[in-house]
Amino acid sequence: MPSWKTPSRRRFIASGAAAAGAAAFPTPAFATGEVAPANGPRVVVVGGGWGGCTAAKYLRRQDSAIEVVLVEPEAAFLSCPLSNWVIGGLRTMDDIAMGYDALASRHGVRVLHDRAAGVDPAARTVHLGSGGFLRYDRAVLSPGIALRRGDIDGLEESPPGAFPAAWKAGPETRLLRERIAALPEGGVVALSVPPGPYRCPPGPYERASLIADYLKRNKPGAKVVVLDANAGIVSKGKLFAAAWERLYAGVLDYRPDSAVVAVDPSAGAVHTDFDEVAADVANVIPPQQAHDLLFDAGLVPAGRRWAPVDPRDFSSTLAPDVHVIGDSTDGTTVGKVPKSGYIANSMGKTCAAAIVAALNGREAPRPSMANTCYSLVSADEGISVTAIYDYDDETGTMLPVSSGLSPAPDASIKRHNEDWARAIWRDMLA
Amino acid sequence: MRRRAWRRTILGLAAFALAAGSAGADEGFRLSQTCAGCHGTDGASPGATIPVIGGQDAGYLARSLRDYRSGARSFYLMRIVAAGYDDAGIDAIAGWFAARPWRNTPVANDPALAAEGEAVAAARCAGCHGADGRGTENGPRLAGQPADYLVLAARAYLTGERADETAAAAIAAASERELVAAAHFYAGLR
Repeated sequence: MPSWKTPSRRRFIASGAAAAGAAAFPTPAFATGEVAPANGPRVVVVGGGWGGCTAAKYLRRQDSAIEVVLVEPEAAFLSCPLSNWVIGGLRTMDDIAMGYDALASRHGVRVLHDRAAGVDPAARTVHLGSGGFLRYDRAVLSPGIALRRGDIDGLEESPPGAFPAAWKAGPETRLLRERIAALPEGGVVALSVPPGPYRCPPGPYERASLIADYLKRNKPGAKVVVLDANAGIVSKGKLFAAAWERLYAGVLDYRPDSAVVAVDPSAGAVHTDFDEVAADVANVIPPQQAHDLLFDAGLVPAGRRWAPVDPRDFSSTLAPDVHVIGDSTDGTTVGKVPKSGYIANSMGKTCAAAIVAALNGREAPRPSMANTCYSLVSADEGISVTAIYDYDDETGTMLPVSSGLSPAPDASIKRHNEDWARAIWRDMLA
Repeated sequence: MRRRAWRRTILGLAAFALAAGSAGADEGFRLSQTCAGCHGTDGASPGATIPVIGGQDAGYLARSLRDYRSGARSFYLMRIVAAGYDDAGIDAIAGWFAARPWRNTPVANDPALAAEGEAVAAARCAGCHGADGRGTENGPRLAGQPADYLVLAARAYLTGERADETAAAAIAAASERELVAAAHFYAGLR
């Protein structure tokens, strides 16, 4: 049992006293006991991404008597949506970064820049990487995904950065951009698509499109080889396929049923079961599962990869007073929703409304969710997919009551994509 | 410390009373929260091509959603969205956004074009949209919408993507330059 699960009474009293006099965040690195005891109902939100920020803001908007503590190690939010624009050279990292300040100053969320080291549902505590713990009445966990690097032979043993995934916006996004910009003429970029379910279904195909567009304009003779573990393009397939045929003949080489099973850092090669691709730049996106935090807290059943929830309030089906939202949730329990930022935003709102209702002795409102995912097929043209979801009493899941795709790629859809990002980033963070 | 606790209790009670007393708005709240993903929190769109809907006229919003759903107004994305709601849902969403405060677009307009557009607006638009651009029973609020959105919307009446004979006639009588100028005038009108 990890040591944080059994704080001694003595430690608790000593540090509790210290914490009472030092309620201001961030906590000192040496904290060991309870950090900032709560005076009223408290929700601890873990993860300052699409789900967590939305839940934190919308909890406070609906009930300012609830204390909300957001635990997030990074100093700034970096958006995964539009990070492909950075890789394609259309935006910089600064363009996809936003601070957490307004969540604190405008909405009264207590933002704690620390890592959640563990969650103990029985004790209702979240343990912090710097030591110490927070008590909660409800926990909202939105920690995102973990990459199963071990599924690909040689990947874990490869030097850091040899095969960047860039599947969480950050240093690898920048690294991949720099590698592609430095690609020699006639060079080869390999991009692997993991088996579903994975974060952002259209993301790999948008990335392939923007890399191909960049190569076409700047690197004569270069190409991008897309090695897809799936039998075909997972999202917006016809729209991507038509755009690729029109725009990237000889530049984008798409290979379905081609899971990357091994990498060889010395040769810069990626292997499928049948083939080997020698690449100057290899963007390997590994298979995915829920964040380790959820496995450690017992929120993922044995043999499964994702956390099962009740979509009426996103409570874990395995532990009381713990809610799980975002990409870590088990899609078979939520319904037919993709692992997208818009869906995580919807989940955050549904979860927040249900928690506010529960803490005020009311019944949770029936969930209503929506999704729109924009993708660029080139530097100039966008496409999109949209769905509206209602709760289905029979299956206990969210089902689409309306859904559809955009027509052919268009510049106006790119503008909507930009406006969407501006709106939803502010909806989470401002 | 005690004082703060009291304040918190009172605020909490006030929030609770407000929520409990607005049962009719509950359905609107429930259905409308996801719209913020594109239209901004409370419908205060920060974008250049997506309209502000918080504080807009309820009748106009409800009519627009019904027209999207039926195809009378053709925009692929809003057609998918509107098809997800029945009449009661559409009315609840429209009512909820109409009850939000209006927030002007944060996107800057072109002051020179705006000055040029004032006379155009007075001659061609004010009859239905009001001298202050804040809307009348015959036309929605234009003041404080982003200029690019207003231009796109106006063109949609010309192409038939939006159906309204009065609007189409007024817009058709203006030159493209006048149309853009009027849009910048309304975008800057607060």
